[in-house]
Amino acid sequence: MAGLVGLLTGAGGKASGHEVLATQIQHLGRIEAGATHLDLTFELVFHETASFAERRRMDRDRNGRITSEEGRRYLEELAPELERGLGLSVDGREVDLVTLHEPQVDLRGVEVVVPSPHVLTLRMFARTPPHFREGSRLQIRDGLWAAVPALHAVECRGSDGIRLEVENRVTWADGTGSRRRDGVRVSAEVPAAVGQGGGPNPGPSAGGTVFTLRWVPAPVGSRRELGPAPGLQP
Amino acid sequence: MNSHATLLGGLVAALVLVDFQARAAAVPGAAEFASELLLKHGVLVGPSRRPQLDEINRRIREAERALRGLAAGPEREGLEARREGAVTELATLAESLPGVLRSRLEGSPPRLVPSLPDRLDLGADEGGLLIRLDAGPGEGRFVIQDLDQARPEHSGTIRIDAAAGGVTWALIGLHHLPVGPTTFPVEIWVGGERWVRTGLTVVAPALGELQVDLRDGDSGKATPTMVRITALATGRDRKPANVVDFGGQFDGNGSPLAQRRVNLPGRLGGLWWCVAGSFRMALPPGEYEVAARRGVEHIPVFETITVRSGALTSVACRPRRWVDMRRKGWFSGDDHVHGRILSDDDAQRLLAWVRAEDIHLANVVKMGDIYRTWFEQRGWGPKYRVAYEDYVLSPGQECPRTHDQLGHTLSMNTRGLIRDVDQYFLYDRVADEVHRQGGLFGYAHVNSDLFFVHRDMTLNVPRDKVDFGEVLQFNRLGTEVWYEFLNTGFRLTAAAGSDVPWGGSVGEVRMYAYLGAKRFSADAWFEAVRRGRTLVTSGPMLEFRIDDFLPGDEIQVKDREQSLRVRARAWGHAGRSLLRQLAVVRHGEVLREAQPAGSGSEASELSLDFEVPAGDGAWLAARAEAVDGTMAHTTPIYVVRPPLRFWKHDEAPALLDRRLRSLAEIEELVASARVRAESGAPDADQAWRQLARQGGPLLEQVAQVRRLYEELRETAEREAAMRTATAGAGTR
Repeated sequence: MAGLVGLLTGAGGKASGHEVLATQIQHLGRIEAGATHLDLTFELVFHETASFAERRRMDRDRNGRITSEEGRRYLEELAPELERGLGLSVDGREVDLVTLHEPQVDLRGVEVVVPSPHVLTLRMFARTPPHFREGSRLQIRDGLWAAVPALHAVECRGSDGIRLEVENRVTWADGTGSRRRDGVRVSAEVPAAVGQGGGPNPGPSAGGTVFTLRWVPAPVGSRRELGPAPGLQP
Repeated sequence: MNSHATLLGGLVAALVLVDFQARAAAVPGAAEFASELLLKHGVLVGPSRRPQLDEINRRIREAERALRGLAAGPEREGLEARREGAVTELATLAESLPGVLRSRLEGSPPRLVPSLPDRLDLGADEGGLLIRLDAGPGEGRFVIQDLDQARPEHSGTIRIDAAAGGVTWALIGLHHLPVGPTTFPVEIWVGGERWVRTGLTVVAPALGELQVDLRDGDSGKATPTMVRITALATGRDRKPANVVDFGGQFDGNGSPLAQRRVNLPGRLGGLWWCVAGSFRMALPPGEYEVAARRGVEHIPVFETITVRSGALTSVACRPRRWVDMRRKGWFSGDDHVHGRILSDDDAQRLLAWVRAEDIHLANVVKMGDIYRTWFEQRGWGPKYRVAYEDYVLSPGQECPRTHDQLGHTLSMNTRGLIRDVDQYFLYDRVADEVHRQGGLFGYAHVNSDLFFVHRDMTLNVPRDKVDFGEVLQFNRLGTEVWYEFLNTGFRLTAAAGSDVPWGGSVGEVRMYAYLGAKRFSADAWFEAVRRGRTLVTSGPMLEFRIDDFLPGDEIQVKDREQSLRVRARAWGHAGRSLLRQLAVVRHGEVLREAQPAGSGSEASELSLDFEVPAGDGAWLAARAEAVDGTMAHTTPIYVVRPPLRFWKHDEAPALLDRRLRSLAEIEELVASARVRAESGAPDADQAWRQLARQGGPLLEQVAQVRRLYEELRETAEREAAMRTATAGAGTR
């Protein structure tokens, strides 16, 4: 009984601070769809605890400092898993996602092993398939660090007459693979994958978040780009 | 010499070399070289060649990807030919770039002919050198090296591992160069042997100056502003002068940096600095984007400027309002701001931030859990409020907070820290004391039901101990738990908070309280929240009335056929929050909605004006969604036809079942804690020890509230007879 309750309630070790928030990774996705290619960029913001685990992985010589060479090797080792962690389909048909540029890590000026946020940027692309047309549905599968609590958000931009809308723009994930669009129950326990510096893609069983986007008709004369637009009256 | 510049994009490959004609190995060197040129050395490539280089990069990478694991055969040969074709194009494009340093490896011992120039003007404090080394017939290579003068592990030697034959293309990134000449040793290595050692002096130009005038675009008054300066050639962020460094006030929590990553879409998101006011600073020459932003009511400013050596460039950044909610009687607030305030300096830094983000009332909360507290405050109550004009920091608390048990609470406008570890799980005691002190009590993270907050809500919302719930955070509007309680007939006011330093910036999501014609004061703002006169937003603005009633009001009707006039208006900024939808929801379901004309259209304003019969009572609210994903929601207006509750009667049994399940969860928690305590095993976890101790009174509350829910079940049955079918009570 107690064990079951413990599982249900996440009863475990002492939790302090905003444990889940410190543990989470923010996944900020952006897709840009054009006539020839679909570019997918993911910025992963690792909060304190999540960052600490990754920084420890980077620090190969365990001297507490992260050199650019250590950062490079970390990314090199991670690259295949990162590639596998993302997927893209158009109207249910998987398209080949290819690395557009090498992943980058921004330690935000804190180049030591401490629980301080850092950002990992991934850039991928796929050739726009011929069956992608108005009304098509794009699905982005994000299985990166799926065992870690996450706040997912995605933005989209179209060019060449393509206009995209996101159906589920912001989603919480609890890191257990079971998630609801609203009201996800999140345990405050630090997931093992974080504490042990788990890999980015622990496998399909850990689940992943899927974003669905739709190519909608573009309104005539509308402005979509953000920028200074003086003159609008309330 | 040409001007060069590079992007400093986090950690970069310090040294990469690959033989681009090696068949067995992949050719990442060529692709990495192309990426490096595209991402960090756009100035070398120029805008006209960029699309070509982009396409070459894609083709190389596609071929590489397809070649993985592919057995020898015609398909492989075809792919290799495509890859080599793209690599050849890359070399051809590199040949066409201006500013290439060309040399040959000749003689024995080898030497560079011609030698590298003695002195090279870089044109900025960072940039790229593109060196072409010809070693005669052979296969050639692409080489990348980054030298960052700000990183101690970089030796400062330009090392090129060249091919013994063919052309080696070396792209050397130089970063953080001091003004004036910097001399680098240059070593050419071939096959593990150093063939050539020479030197190269790179000159970074004299700095220019940038003056940024930061003012409120409407009043012309100087004001703190959120600022970002980006070198356009490289994308590198330059820290402005006059930055307000409040990072030390976060006790090392969250993102403890003064540079804030804002949870907003598009260009409004990303990294921003809070700058106290106008500033002047030296910068290397080049083109920059200076961006200035002040919360959702202002139009952000994005100015492109050019800084020249020895010259002053001035730019005025004066974000103007696209809407002035104050004039409509609505004043902004953030219910969830963490930051230590131990001194006037601490207070002034946070005050600068809330002024920059145009947040009139910041609930600055000391945070605690059963173990300790964070974000120390000097004191509580009006005496410890800090104000500048209509901007106020008001101390509050986020405590009690239990993470695995009952959730996090927020209190506003309290007179002292209320925290008793021996009664920590009895949140009602805190709520009562907060109310006794004249404050407001509510829950954090309701939008995501973090930390099982639904459990304590189940205990205390029905006992009228709760004023508000945080339904918008991290640009995520979460209504599921909120709607559950509203649909059970409990009032709960909408609140929003950034939760910095875990959130991005103060006011990235915000709540507005309606003061009407009253002059703004913290007390008036709190009173408006107490009355439920709020809306929450991360972008669009909303107005909502039923007859002359406002959010938080109750309309009592005698006749179910009584007609109510419902008016809602949402509007957004044309460059930012164009609207996708405005909806009036009744019991959480869309009663009426407005969308821009035509599928996929967008509007800067949407409105609804219709009449609806009062029916048997309900809660109604307005919500809006913008194209950029920002959202807004009002607190409901409650329509009550006595003696009926305003609840979603047809779902009452299911809603009550859900609440009873939450009570059962609390009972299980207590049972679990007691099993631990009785086991006699040493348990260092104070939370569970205390829960076992406090289980008695907590379970008494559970029993009391269970009776209340059971009574509501009876009420639902009684009401069934009083209500007539509501199917025909739709809009008209």
